[in-house]
Amino acid sequence: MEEKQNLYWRRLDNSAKIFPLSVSKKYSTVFRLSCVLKEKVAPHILQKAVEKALEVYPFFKVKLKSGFFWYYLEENPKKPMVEIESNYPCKYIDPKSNRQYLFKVTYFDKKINIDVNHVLTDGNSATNFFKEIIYTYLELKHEKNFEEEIRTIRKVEYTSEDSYLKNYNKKAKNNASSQKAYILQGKRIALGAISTIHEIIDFDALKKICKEKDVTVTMFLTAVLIYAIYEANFKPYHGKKPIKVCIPVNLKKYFPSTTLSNFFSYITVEAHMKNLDTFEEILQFVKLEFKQKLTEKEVVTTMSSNVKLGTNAIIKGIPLLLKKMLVRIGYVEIRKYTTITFSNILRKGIIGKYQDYIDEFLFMIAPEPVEKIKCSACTFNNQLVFTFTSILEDIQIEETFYHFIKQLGIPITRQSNGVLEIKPPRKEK
Amino acid sequence: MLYPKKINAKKGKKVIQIGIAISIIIALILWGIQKIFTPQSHWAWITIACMIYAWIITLYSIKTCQNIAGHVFLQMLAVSALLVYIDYITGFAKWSLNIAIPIIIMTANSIMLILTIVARNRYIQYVIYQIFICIVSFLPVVFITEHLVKDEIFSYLALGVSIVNLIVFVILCHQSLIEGIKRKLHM
Repeated sequence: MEEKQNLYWRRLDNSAKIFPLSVSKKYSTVFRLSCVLKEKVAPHILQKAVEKALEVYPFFKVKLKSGFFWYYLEENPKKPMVEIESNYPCKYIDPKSNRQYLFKVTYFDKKINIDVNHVLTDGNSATNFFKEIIYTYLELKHEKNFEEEIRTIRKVEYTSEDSYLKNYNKKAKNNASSQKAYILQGKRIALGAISTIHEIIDFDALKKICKEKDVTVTMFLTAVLIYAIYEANFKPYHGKKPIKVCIPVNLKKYFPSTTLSNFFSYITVEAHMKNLDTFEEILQFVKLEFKQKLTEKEVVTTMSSNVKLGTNAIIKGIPLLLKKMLVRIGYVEIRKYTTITFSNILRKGIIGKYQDYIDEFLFMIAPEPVEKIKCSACTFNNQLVFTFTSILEDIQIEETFYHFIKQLGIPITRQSNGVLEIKPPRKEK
Repeated sequence: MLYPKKINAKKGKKVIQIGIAISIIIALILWGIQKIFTPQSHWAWITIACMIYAWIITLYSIKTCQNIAGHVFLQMLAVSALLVYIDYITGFAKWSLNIAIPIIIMTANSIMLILTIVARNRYIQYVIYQIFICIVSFLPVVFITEHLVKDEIFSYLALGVSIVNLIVFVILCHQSLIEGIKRKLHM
């Protein structure tokens, strides 16, 4: 009992407060990072690597507990469990079958995965922890090649502070659009399966095109995504509402912070398709939207209006049980303000020597009953992997995206998890 | 190869549809047999109810990734104990041993059999419950050898279904079985 009282605990950050209230088997709030090695994964070494990485990042050695008003995180004295990959990516992490951990490390063939519940952290900080696992794994597996690295213990400086509370603007007004978004239509895949399609794009060729068009890679991919949705789903289903793409933004770019807790905001690109028809029009529109919305002022305003909800005295005073009920009732409605989420966690910087053992990095986010497709991108070496995670049976959006990039002359290949069949490349007539 | 081999969504749907169709045909056959040979008894309806129960649990668990083996094991024990108790306090006519427990065992094993075939990759952490289910499923052997049952047909049927489940489970999931035993029973 005494031991239990001495266990370290911490509050959830402002953004994480909502996740456990809404989390269920349908809304998993899980994202996945994968690293494909050049050799088969040794499970017992991976187990050791995860345990060692947790010593460097005890921040992740926690379990979720419920208080009277809010959930909180408490130290987890159990060892984490590494397992062979057997489920679909980003599925709900059942704490009971995962020794109460909020992340799950799995492996398959040459690939190491970490599924992370968003309650714990955001994609940016999870990447640091995942890289630590990969570094440690490679050091343990190839001891001789990494002797120097083993002797130097990596020191990681971080905090678990709530950087939202430290940096938000109390006077900021809500800048969110009140119009609901176009919701992707189509039949869902049976029995809770999740389809994953990776579009592997040559980064240099993509960058060259972006340079020619004077846009960033994220802007360009957002425009292609809107175009693909428009052609493959919006038009056939005669959509009327705007296509809204939610793009998470790393707030550490705007505020100095060493926290490992969630610290992100988002911008919403709101495309009214009445005025947009060609790709070029969409691209110019996206460019303008980014210019207007991806500014410190706008990002802070969005972040602040969300923080104000979590710090509201009335909301704070509602018992957890009631909060949970209210959020679950309202969550489906809240989600209707976004068509799709596209998260680009940019280039994965890996220390030189370790790069020789790695083939590629993958990043994916869990789709939901309302946002039926979610997109993510991640770059390593000269490969950008754009991933569609979907619960829709129809893969027309993925197909349109692929063929559009291909017809621009950018080298692109595809891989899927086999849930849905990818059509073979079209034969030129 | 980036991902473990999954059943393609369309193929998986087809397997389930074929399974349901077969179940409906079996249900109709059983109902016909009952109508012709034993019109005074309603045993076919009990079996049909168990089949419906098995399908609901199977589809729900595939969809939600629940610890189905744990639930099935617990329900199997709890419902059996409850029925034996009801039987005991109503004069111990032994209907619970003759019919009820063998049917429960058949239902539990059928659920596990379907899940083993359809989604075996997922059940490494639930192996231990599958083993418990298999062990408990051999109870009808005790019923028969100890002459606790008059009508042995259901006990033999339950035994048959349990053996089929065990054989399929060992053939398809032997690696998970070894890994699960190592993990759960390490000293």
